[in-house]
Amino acid sequence: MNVIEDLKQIFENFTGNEIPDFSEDTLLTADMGLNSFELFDLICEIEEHFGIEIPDRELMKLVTLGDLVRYIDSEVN
Amino acid sequence: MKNRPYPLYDFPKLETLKEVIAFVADKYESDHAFRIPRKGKQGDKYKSYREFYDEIRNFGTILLQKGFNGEKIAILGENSYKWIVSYFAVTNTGNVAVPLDRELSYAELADLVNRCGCKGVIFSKSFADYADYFKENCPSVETYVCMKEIHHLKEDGAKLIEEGDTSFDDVRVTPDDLAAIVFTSGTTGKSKGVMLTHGNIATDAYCVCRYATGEGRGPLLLPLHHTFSITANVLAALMYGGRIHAITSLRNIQRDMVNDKTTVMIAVPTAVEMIHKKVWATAESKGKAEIMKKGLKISNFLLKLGIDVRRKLFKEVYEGLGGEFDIIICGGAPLSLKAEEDIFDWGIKLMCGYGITECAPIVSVNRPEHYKRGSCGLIIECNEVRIENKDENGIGEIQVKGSNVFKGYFDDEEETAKAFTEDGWFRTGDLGYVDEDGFLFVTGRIKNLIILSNGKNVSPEELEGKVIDAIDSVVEAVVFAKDDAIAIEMFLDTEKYPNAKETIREQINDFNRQMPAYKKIQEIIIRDEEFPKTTTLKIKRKYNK
Repeated sequence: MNVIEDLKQIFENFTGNEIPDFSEDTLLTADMGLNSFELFDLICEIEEHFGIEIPDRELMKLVTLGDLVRYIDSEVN
Repeated sequence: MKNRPYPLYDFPKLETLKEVIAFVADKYESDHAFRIPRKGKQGDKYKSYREFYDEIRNFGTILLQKGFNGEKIAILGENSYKWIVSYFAVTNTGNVAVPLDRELSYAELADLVNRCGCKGVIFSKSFADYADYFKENCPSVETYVCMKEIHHLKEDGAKLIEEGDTSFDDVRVTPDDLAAIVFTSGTTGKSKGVMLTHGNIATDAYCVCRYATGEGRGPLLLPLHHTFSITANVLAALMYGGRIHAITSLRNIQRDMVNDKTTVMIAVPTAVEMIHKKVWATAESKGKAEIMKKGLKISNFLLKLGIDVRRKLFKEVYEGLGGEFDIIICGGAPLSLKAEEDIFDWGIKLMCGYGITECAPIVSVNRPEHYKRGSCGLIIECNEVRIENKDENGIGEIQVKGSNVFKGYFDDEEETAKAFTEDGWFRTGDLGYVDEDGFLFVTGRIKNLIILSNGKNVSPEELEGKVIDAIDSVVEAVVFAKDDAIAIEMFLDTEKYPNAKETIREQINDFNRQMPAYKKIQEIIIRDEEFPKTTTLKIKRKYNK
């Protein structure tokens, strides 16, 4: 499983746009053009895809794509 | 659609939260007041109005037995049925609820608990770590109650009542009694404790019910520590015998709405705009966007002839929202005109309004069949509005007077004095005008506060101070709103910190990890020289709206 590749697919499917600069430093909201409600929606898809749960309080600490990848890695492994 | 004045709905005048809870229990008895989600195969739980009242009474009896009499009790947790029971148990026993924003840090919340001198804290299991922190840092707190224990405490309370305990019923609350202290962002950075009485909250809720019906089913979308949530999402819904879907998280909101066949939604503009965006995105993905655009033209033409085909023509929009969606009550920030127009054109009743925590909170609201697009509606009868210091366009400060206006800021006479004019009108700090038909339009702000479309207020000064404290290389900072998100422009000390420009992004990311979602800084601008200053050496802010 390549977490970043899978996430890129999920984000692009969700936003309907290609995201050329999809790197660790990418901001989860501003750089993806998402507001907080949309991020919640997207997180549900991410949870389903990876078979994990991201509690709301943990979600608050996830600022960049790198944060999200590290969190998923720690939960999946 | 007539779109003209029509009589207000009849509603008994209820002046305290205790009267409200007793009234709805008597009127709606065995009707479902709450639907409580449960995981697994057991299915969701339902609470009737009578059960809801009894649980408040039972838990309230225990609070009185524990010695809570006129005390301040903090409430901290995610949205839940138990949070609501806690709030009414506290307020109905003559105690004062201090709802806490669950997104704030340990230290920030401990500070609020200490400032209020809270004697008790009711917290949900997922915030047990906060309770642990308070135990070390909040000396006034004597009792901690985990919401998980409420189940047993209710049973204990019921037993006491059976044995003849009448303490809950004996408590008399008056409209002037303090019900809650709600903290709101201050423009100087320090948050202010808005003191709301029973009369403020109950009157505002009762008034809203005169302007619009809240019957039906609706999700608990707004965070309960906000007055908009308590007044509109909870009280007005209960007063109309509605059923509240007590969801605890916003994820899967669309699925929850479809599942519950939501009819009414109380929301902030971000949520409404998300629905608006989704409807168009779904239409695009099904290749039906052009058809929808044509449909809107036809429907609007027929509407002018008095023929309303919107619900039939846009059946798929409704099906995507559960099939029975009827009304959105929206406030907290301005809604985009495009979203407002489309939602109306699809046949969903949209009531945009204006409110502020200090007014419990609703000041004005559009009615489903008497409205003006772009406006914040008619001024509700429990308050009056005047516009002061008008400019050449008739725009001035919105000032409010009425039974929904707060008592003052807790333990802050200076800020309280600044908040009111000499003749007793509350200065909202917002700019606007009232047109010849009595509709209020909000056009901007005097106060230096950022209001995001999710209804959250952010004090630029507070955030600037925090950034400067947290990051050594930041000498000066100005926070402002850009594209409905927080941006910051900074002047860095590159002499002392030569790598400051390279490291600042990651330092801001680290800063953001400690901040609630609505205070996360999304855009950074670095300037090469100090900010221009006024003659009193204050930074000139060019970003005020």
